[in-house]
Amino acid sequence: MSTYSKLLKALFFISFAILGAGFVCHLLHLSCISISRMGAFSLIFSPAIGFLYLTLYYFFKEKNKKLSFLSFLVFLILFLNVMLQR
Amino acid sequence: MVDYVYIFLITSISSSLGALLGIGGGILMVPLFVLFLGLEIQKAVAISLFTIIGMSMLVSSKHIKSGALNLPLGFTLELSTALGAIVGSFVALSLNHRVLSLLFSVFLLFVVYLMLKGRGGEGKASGGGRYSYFDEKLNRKIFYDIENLHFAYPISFVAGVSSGMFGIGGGVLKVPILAKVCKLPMKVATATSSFMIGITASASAYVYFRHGNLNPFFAFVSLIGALVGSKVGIYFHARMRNEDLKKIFAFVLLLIALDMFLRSI
Repeated sequence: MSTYSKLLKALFFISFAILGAGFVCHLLHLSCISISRMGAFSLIFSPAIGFLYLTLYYFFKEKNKKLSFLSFLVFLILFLNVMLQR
Repeated sequence: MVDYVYIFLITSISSSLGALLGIGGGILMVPLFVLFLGLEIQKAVAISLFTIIGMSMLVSSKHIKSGALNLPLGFTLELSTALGAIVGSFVALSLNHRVLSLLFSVFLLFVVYLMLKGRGGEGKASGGGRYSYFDEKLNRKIFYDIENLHFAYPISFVAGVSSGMFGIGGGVLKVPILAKVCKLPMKVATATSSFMIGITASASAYVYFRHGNLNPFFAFVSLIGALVGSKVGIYFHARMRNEDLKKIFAFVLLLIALDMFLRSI
């Protein structure tokens, strides 16, 4: 589980760095809204990536098919929420 | 530039108060964005949801280490909450912002009632139980069980709808569900709620993001404000009386509810 904890932190700081880069560009009057939007999207999508990790963790490491299936369902809801609106 | 300063101040104050009360800051953030920045409520909701996702990820990563977060319970209940959040955000986008402001003011009154009534008991913090965590303050392992899970699903769905509609994480509803209905110890309830609110917010934030309601520059400043505010809140947590703070917070919410109600008519 400590890997999951590290994954959440890493995803947060990667998104934060991308958003920060976009913000600095914005302050310098450079056109880089797409960088900021990418950062925003990566943060919004991070929980879904976390659930994908949990699905694999419960399936392969804990051998708990029920929890693996449940975490996969949450991943699927978050993933389809994004895909169906694109 | 002034807007960024306002956003920073609003999110840091909301997050520090949220951290003090253990409920997140969305409930205060949205009305303050509307009142001080003149943002449309949908845009304010989008920034609030985005900030909640970031804070939830950071807080959860700490709770996972301490063992207070019941991860399986969190994502089992999250199935119904996430669906509720998606439904709620579509409902909010289809409503006129005056109607949404009116609904929000009514919802704030309900939250005031919940806060003054108390957020729940301590759960079954002793004796045998299927689950456990180590309480550092008590310096011992606390065992507990999960009860009435079937009641928690529909209530979680409602919490999700309110999150999607009003841009709150829903901690103010989820903590009582987990503590009172599922009989969890308060520490487990708040830790699990912190995890859940990020997932719920993620489900609804994308709807707002997709519809162009999220300003990523505001969102970035809001994240910085929340990072600073939550540190300040945690620092003062041990130094202030929770009950007094709760009453002040409820009074502020009451004033905001009144103001939003007057603006909606």
